[in-house]
Amino acid sequence: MSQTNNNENLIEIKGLKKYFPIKEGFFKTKNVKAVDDVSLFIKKGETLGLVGESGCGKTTLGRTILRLHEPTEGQIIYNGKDITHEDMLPYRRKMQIIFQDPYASLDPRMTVGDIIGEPLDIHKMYGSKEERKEKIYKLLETVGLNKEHANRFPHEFSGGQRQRVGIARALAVEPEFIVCDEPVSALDVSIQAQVVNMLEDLQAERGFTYLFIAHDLSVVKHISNRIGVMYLGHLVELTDSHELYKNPMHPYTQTLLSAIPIADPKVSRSKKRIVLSGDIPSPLNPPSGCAFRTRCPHATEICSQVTPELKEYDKGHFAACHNLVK
Amino acid sequence: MSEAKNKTLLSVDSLEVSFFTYAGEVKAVRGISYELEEGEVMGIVGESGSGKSVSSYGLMGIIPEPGKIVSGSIQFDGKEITKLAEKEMQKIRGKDVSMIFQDPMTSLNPVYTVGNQIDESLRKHTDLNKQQRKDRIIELFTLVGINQPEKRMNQYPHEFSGGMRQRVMIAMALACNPKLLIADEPTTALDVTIQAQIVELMKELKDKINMSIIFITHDLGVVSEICDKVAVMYAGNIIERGSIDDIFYNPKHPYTKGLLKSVPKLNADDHERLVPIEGSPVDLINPPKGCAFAPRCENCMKICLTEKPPVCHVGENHESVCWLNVKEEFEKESGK
Repeated sequence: MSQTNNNENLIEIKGLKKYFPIKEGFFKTKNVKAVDDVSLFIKKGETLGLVGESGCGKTTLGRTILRLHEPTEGQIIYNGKDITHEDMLPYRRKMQIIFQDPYASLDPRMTVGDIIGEPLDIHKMYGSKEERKEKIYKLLETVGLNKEHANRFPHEFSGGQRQRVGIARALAVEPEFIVCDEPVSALDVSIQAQVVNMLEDLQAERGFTYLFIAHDLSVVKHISNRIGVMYLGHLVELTDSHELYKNPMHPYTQTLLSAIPIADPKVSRSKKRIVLSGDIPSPLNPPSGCAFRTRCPHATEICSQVTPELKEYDKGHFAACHNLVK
Repeated sequence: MSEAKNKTLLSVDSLEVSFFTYAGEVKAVRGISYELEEGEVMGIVGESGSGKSVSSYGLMGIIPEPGKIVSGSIQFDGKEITKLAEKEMQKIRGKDVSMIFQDPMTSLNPVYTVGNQIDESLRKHTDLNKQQRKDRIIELFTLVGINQPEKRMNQYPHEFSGGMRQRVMIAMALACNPKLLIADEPTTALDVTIQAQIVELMKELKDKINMSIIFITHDLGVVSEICDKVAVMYAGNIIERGSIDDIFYNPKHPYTKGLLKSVPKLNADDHERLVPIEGSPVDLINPPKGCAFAPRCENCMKICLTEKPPVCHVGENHESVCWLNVKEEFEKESGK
């Protein structure tokens, strides 16, 4: 793949694979190929969106980049340095994650102040107790909560507020790169917009680089500069977000886009929809060749034999499909 | 079935549902009224906790403890059903009114085959014999698009994927040809591609069997695809209702407007900033005295905090519950 190799890239991953072994009987193990040979790069200050159905490996990819899962194969390069086998502690200060479920990702027995303070403790980021307190209050303020909230427990907060606590915790160590793993999926529509706006403001202010994972394509399109589409562990298309919506190349991206319900009755009445038959295959038993061929309307013989490679078809527009003729 | 198309099937009048908890009375539904005609699809939208699910549980008579219908009436097919005894209710439930639940993963019984579970309502409500029931199940499976029905009906829920389970749920709900189907967030737990399949399926079925559907969801996109009319709920009240075009192109209530603005648009060319509704939903144990939306409303006036707004008819079959509409009307009249 001819992705450019310059020092503007904050994150670069090459041939990343993550297999989860599953025991079948005493001796046999089988691999769930959650992420299978994914390469991409994220430029400094940009937001890369990652979309796909549940089980396509987008969350696993995000976590593997942070080495919350150890990669099975491949390279993770952060700021020009290969961190695949490095000690992660110093890098945890630079790379953080916002988790999907604000109801499950906060320790119910810790106060919000301690949840936000924990990363400060670990990285010894304060000189005195006073300073720690100041820092926590400032973080709470940044995410639109106030300092009275520091002594409360997570159950006293609504979903949107909890997600703000999760964001404050990620911001505590002043990171450069944040993986946002479905940060708004569990929230109501009116609250979603609040959190999305806050993430955008923070990025504009502090120059964060985001990897934004979600299954809601309209939110991803709204926030991302570039978008990658995943299917069954493979990256099937990667391009600029406007380009992806205007000119989707991969048949999976096309169906995904046509499946989105649009909140506009006139548009949805006139829209012609490509409805996919069937479900996503099990990653334990992925189809041979192209993973999408079992549901693809254009599948031909070669699709079942050779796994298509991600190729650049247009400037900066990558897709993995045999039937795309340039 | 289709002799009079505009016959009212269901009319709900100032229905109130409360949950009597230790913390106090939670007024989940605070007086809602609507009508539904035969063959019509109505969407109910609102945030979590707005009472959209609870209000429809009332129609089925399955409000969980410690909830109760406090007042109001529900007329279904000319019958008042809030006063029916449980035995009577059981005759209607599953036969004339049936429901699809949100989560297909947990609402099927894991220890019975899916065929058996569909069979249950057929055994209860029809006089079909065993072979006829089996044929009916096969017919239903074909209708909802499950392949190899003979084989699939003898399988257990865990052998089905999420989308397939939702199809089983739909087949179950349709078993006795209900007049009214309540779909409580039927696609929320599903992926977009599967959601598209289910929405297409429901549209198709609606035309085929001419039933009425109440479609509860928080996704405005899904509403615009399937519904004829929409009711928007906030804090236990219907704050606006009207035809789908009214709600999407001519919303009158600030909450509806806010809801529409806070969704990112797919077809927008430039990067537009989202307009969120500030604040968070109200506490229903102590609902505000005036308009429930007033604390979050950007057009909040003095009167909003103290007095409940009346229902305003802002158009044909288009109602909005807001003081602003009263003001506009007043200004229009005095201007003349």
